[in-house]
Amino acid sequence: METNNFLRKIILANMALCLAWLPSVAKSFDWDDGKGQLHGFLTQGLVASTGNNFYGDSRRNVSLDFREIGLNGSYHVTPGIQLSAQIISRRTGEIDDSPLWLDYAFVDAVLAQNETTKLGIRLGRMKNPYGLYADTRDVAFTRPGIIVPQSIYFDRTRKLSLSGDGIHLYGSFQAPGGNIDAVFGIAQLPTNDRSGKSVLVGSNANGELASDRPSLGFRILYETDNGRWRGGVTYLTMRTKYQAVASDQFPISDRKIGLEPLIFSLQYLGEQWTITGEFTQYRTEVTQNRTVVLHSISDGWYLQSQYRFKPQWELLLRYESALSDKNDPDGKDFAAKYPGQQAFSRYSHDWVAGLRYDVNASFMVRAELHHIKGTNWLSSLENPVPGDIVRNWNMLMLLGSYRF
Amino acid sequence: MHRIFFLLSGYARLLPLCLLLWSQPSFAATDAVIVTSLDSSRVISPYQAKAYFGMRIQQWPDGRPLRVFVLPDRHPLHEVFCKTLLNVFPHQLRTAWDRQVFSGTGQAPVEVASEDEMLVRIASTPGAIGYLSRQKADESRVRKIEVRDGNQ
Repeated sequence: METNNFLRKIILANMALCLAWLPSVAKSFDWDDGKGQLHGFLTQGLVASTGNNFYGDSRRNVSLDFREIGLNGSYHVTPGIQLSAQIISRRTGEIDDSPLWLDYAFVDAVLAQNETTKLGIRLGRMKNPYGLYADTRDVAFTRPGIIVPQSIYFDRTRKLSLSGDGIHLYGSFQAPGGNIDAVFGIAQLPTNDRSGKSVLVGSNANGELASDRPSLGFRILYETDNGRWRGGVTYLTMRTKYQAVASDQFPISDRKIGLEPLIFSLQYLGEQWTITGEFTQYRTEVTQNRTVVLHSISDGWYLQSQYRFKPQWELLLRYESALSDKNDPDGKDFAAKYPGQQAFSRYSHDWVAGLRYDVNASFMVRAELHHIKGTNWLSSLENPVPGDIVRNWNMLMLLGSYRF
Repeated sequence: MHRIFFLLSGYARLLPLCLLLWSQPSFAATDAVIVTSLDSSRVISPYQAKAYFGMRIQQWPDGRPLRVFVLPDRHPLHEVFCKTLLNVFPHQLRTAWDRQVFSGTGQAPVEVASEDEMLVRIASTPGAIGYLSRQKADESRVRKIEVRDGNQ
């Protein structure tokens, strides 16, 4: 653990040094007329909360355990072949602790291209096409707030849907009044994630999650010619199995977990206003020895407005709602079935208000307030004592981010 | 000796950037034209213009590599260019580039500090595309491109 911390500090210090040095050379670091490019970001956040912990020890203290550092490079070998890779170091309390993570590394080859159509293939580790924001969810500049809407982009299970090793086929083509972007992928998703495991099989499970079979997914997005409207649909299947060990309190064998999110997205982009709504419904199925032991359909949605009232200022207002089981929206059936469990752990309704100020093109600061009823996206790793968890809680978050 | 010269020339290259940081461009741009190096086509469709500047397509119809140059997001001419020639807002382009840059699925255009630098880079880069105010588009060095539907 000591060595780990020491290593992390060295890696972070080096990455921070690289990031600080690069922009002094040029604002964006590119060569060969842009054929090769380096980009990166450095984000530090701060969380203070009432009632429950989020991103570290935020209830008793002000948590600074919210840091994101990334560096990516890309090179256009030929007009039709691009190589890209990104490494990320990220710490958000107990939910994510990745000193160094290969976020993506792939080769992108254009198979066919003309004035109105482009078809291509990507091989390697790619970001999962998932809703409007998942592709760049760790880049503060591209997020709609300090944290992504938890009703769609759960942080505590983020690793399971973040990126996968496999193959993507994609196309971009002219359609009546606009353009369609489509991606279809088959990928092996990562499973060795503590936070995801705590959600799927509980934080007391000592065994490992393993990949059951490759995940399939697609996303189709339509955008009007003037870019005012974007909308589309995402579908993903995630399959994992739990490999129990003898030290487990309740050894369970041959347990398979399937998650199938389906997301609908719609966005209006005006000069000053951006209005976004996304709705997800996902099926969770847990089988044991091929018998279904749990089947539920979860709901999540948010409606968000971003108002750029001055060139460097943006106001955010968002309401979001997530239900673990849409047939038990207030969690009462759940609480009755599992004594000791809280009904409010089955939903969350969150009001978010935020302010963003772009100091310049590469530096940005943000402040955000959350008023939340329910805890269904709270991590048990950060809130280990069930009796301490409360239904109504608030968060104040601050963030500074630098990019190049 | 060589080392000192190298350092000096290095800083000299940063001069345009420093100047930009010191002073906001004071003119009000009224008209922008898309320009390319002299070896490129004269007409592109609105769809192509958006695909090229949105960095969705990286090559000309004949297969030659496309090199895209832009001014900073808040440069008055960039705003005029986005609104009048592409019919989008600068923040929409920035969002599209960021999405591609940080997911590895594309790249950002090369950002130049001034119209003068834009002219020099377009004139000297084969397959380049960018934009200038009409009076700065020196047709002995760059070619003006018309954006319209129809055959090329």
